Amino acid sequence: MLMKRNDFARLLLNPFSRLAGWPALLSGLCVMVLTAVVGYYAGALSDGVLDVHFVDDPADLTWRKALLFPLVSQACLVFVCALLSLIFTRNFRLLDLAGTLTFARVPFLLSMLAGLAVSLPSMADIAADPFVLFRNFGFVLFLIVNVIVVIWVVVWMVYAVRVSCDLKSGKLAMVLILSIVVGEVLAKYLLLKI
Amino acid sequence: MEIFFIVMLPVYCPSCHAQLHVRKMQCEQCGTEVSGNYELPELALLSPDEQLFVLQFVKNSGSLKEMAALRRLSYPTVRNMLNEIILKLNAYETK
Repeated sequence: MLMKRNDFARLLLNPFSRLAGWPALLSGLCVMVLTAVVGYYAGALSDGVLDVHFVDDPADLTWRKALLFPLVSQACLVFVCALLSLIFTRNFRLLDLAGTLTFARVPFLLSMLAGLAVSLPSMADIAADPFVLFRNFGFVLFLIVNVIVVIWVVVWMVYAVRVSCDLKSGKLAMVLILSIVVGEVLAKYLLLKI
Repeated sequence: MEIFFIVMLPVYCPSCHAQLHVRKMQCEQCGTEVSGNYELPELALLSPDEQLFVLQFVKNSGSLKEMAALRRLSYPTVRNMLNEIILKLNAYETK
């Protein structure tokens, strides 16, 4: 029983010792679509490599945006990460990298679910008193969940690159940090064009 | 409850951690002893788990996919384990 619990804890930290390739990619994509659907109803959008936020005007949030933006962001991250990994190693499969990095976004579903509990005050109320947001229980809960989820996603991204490309320490840190920064910039640029 | 003790071939000196050599071998049937100074094979220098990995890998015709299924691990995890073993064996060769 203790062993099983340890195994489960290890899998929560690094699911990619067991999961990679097509199963990771397909399940990651399914959860991404589910996350987008929940986000649509919560009025939140994931339009970058690592960010989830509420849209200013819920009327601006279309199904096209909700579904396409996370996919474009994810594609940018995988593309940049694969290119950077090629500097250090050729001994990896793109399918593993794409699958594990896509599955690493699964915890964002929790952020979107927490977003369902938020009823945002109007922009006029926020402009009059910005602290009104911090007196909103749903919003504070969303913030706390979001911070935990972002840390969780980064940890999974670290293991995704580590397992898929067999990179460690300095090389791993360099590839991941640059992938997140360049991937985010590329994603924002492409999303502005869409 | 039965407790099994696995007798492992010692490959490093417990005192100074240098690699051990074989000095004496004995025929279990007639008791003949052969002495000399024989190096251990490189595979014997790997840990028991790594030796088991190599054995399973050969038995599975060198298929990482089958190794992944056998060990219930992902394909890249198994490939990384193999990379580690290759690195170790290369290091033994250059010593």
